[in-house]
Amino acid sequence: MILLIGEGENESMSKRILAELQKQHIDVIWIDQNSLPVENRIYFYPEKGKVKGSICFHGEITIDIEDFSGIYSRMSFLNVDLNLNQHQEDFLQVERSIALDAWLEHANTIVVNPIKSQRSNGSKLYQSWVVQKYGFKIPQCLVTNNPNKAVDFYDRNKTNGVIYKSASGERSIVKKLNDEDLERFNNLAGCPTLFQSFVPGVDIRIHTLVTGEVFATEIVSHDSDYRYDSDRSTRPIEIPDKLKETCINLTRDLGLYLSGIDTRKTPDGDYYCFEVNPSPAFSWYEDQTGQPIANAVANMLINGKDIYKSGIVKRKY
Amino acid sequence: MILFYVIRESETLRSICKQIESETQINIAWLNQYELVNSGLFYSENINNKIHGTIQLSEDSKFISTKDIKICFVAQFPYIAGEWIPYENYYDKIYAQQEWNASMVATFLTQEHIKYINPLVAKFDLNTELEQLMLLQQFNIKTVDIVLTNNSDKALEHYNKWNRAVLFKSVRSGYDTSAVMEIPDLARLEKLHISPVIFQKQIMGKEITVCLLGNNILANEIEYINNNPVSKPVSLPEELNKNIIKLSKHINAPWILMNFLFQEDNNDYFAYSINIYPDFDVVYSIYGEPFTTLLKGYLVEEYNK
Repeated sequence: MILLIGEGENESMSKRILAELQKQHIDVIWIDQNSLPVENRIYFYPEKGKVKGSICFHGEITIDIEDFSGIYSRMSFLNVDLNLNQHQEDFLQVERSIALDAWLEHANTIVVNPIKSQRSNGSKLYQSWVVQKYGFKIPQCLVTNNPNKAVDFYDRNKTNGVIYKSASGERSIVKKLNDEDLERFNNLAGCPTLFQSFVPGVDIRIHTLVTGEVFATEIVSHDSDYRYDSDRSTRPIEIPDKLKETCINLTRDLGLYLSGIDTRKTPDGDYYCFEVNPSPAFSWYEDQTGQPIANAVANMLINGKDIYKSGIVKRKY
Repeated sequence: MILFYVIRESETLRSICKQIESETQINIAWLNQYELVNSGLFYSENINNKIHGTIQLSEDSKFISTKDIKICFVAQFPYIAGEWIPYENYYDKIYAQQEWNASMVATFLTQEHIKYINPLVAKFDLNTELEQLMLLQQFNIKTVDIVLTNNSDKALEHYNKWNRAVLFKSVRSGYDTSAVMEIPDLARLEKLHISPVIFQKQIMGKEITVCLLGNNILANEIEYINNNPVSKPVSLPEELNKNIIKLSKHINAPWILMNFLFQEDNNDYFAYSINIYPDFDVVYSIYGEPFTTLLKGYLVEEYNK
């Protein structure tokens, strides 16, 4: 049995994996994260150092958690409208999320992706420090709440320019810094920001499965954030074997089974890495290129128990 | 330099800092994360594939450079609270909280030369007692029985199985919400589906609190006299001491606080929690001077290694 947890009714990644599994007549349960656990009943307990228990889905079917052969979880913060006040809802959201994380983190099969393994993406500067150890180039970065340091960084990198974005995994729009922005630097004190030297080149998003499948998409854009450029163009490309191997090793060593690695190839042929996304929204790239990413993830889940037993990915604990 | 990483002031800890500084000439720095968020300035930058950073808590305080830190003693759970952020809008606070957390992760987790006591991200995060008890079991330490569920039938089943002697509490550790389950609480089980709860079999026994620092273990029995806790030192079985030390090395956390219930009749110790970010002031209130003496000695020894 495979379990897919989607981030809301219309989330497309888990739905596409569901379709691929159904094509192959694999037993699968898809649930909306917001119905888990409210419309479902979880029951976990520790025994001999392992988590045991079961989940009853919609009062109809009860599955022993040992029986899941693979789990795909695209969960964000559980958002259940129960007409509670903000304080109560905040408290319960964390309670529900932590309860599920405690199981998913210790499940006896592959979980795409384990929660704690996703944490390096919570700090872009930290992740860049990890990534450079694998041979990727990384741009000059500064995280600060000090306006003077930010001005100094801007001056030092004026030739190529500077972009700014969130220091954490919070979604933000990447923008180029200009002289007018300096007037807002006094606002930095309350909220640190990531500044990065601009890297010229072509974006390549590399979806990597630890089982060896690598899907690279080239994106040509004249915007500093291609996600918001309606004139961008995309195409599937082949990347060098050495780069593929680097992506697989990096994904594995971060404790991930699937990653979306954001890179940029410079005119000199260097590959810069900006981010390793542990919960990649691959459906958009599938639509643009026809790359069978959902199919590859589905096959990885089908073989989940064997992959888990092989110990190819070390959990981050 | 030894950095003391705190989220609020502690007179006792400050006095330990002064003693270490005057007795050993080791440089001491004090990082109060609350002050940093409110009035401090910091930066972290990658230079030649290394992250360099400095922190200044206020305009007139000295700079703390990450490269100068050899030991970082994390004296309290190092969180950044949203309410510290001086923004009015709730979502702005949450966003800034994430950015501060990301910044501290980049500043500290990238410093391979610093020995953290304890690491800011220990191998086990131990967010819930479910994870805590699993870890304890892996090291042959007996634990109390618990279930984590939002299934009222299962909760009721265990309530009966455990002879109606049951505690219930929040899923996450660190919230002291534990209460004895009474008959009127059974009616509330119908709302259990909205969020899971931990149910724990209530067992009787003497309350034993154990503090580990390096290879040193302090164990105290806590008795309540007129509702006031009174603490006295006790000895643990050698086998249990060994298992606690093994566990601490496995999770790379040399400083931990654990709670047990001791049943004298059969000489059994049942663990019910393990805390890898103990609060210095709480530990001091239990163990007093023997702990501060141990801490000073341990920090200096680690510094000189």
